[in-house]
Amino acid sequence: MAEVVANGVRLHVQRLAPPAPSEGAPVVVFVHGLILDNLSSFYYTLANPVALAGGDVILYDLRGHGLSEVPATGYTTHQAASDLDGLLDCLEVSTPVHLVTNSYGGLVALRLALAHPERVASLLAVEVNCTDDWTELMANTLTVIALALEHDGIATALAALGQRRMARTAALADNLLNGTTLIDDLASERPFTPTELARLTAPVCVFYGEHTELLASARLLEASVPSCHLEIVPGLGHTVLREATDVLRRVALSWLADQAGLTAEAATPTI
Amino acid sequence: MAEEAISPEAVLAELVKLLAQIVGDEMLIEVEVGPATRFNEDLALESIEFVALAEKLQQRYGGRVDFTAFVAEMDIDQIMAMTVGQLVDHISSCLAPVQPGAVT
Repeated sequence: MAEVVANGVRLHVQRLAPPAPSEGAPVVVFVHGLILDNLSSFYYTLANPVALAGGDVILYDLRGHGLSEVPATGYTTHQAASDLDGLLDCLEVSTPVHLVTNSYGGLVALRLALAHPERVASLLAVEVNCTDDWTELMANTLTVIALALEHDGIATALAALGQRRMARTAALADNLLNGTTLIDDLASERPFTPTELARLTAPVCVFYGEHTELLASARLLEASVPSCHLEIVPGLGHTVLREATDVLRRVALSWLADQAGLTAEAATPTI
Repeated sequence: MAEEAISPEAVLAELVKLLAQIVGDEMLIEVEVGPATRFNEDLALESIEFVALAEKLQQRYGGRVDFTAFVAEMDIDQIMAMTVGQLVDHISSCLAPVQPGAVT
């Protein structure tokens, strides 16, 4: 199934089945990051190893991203959590799911876990920023980018230079930042309070690069979430999914072996 | 069951048609797509467009071509460096009829 209409928005979905038998296999849902990210960043890194290890894998593009619909409004994390809740309903997933997220995807997962704790069996959040300055930081950074895209005509200039991929990326970002309420919606977000985070019942693993700017988030989560395991990888910054895929894959498979009963080392695909 | 056209030339022609649906005809006018054409370097295909291509292959060839298993054997750098020829070879071998007398 490639497309689902959930919560009133058309979402691009990819599902990877585990090796037979797949009945009753633990469901693992990947949630990507913001703006230039989409399901391919997990599709080509962790998704297949997790499916081969026995996971019923679901990947999807957040509204406004990848191949999903780009509505003009509805870009709060609350809405994103509702989209995911609706998606799971459409796919008839009623068992609690194991979430694996990158960056902003972790905020969506935290919202879902707080709003619908029965939906979430565990959460592995890579490089999630959840301190109370994140909304302002994100909104400011995105506003600068939005203005540059709009005023400098970057997408058009790149297209004229034959830089197809960069032109497409710039046009995508321009449409999302200047054509929707995304920046305003982010700016209106309430951050997660320690009290809220203390209500999380699912086991959480948070994964950060040693040189990330988000260590305050790491400490907040470790201190507030009742069942929280913190992994910090030396030598890395925010882009751990791309730069340390092997390390993250080992951590993810080990975590999901504990939480979901998957095999810790993925079976080697037969050629 | 009807015989599927499985010559590499036929598969290449099919793949070019599917690629046109993803990257647009203009791109394929500029780039002559052959076995050595690289998806990323020459066609500027993004990762998400690769996913779309896998989708179209699934629709076109049904369960006979397993793109995800093919890709699962590669790391991200190998996927990004993939040539059209590698994919054509994989599709052709998936579609090749089973030899008479082979154990199923």
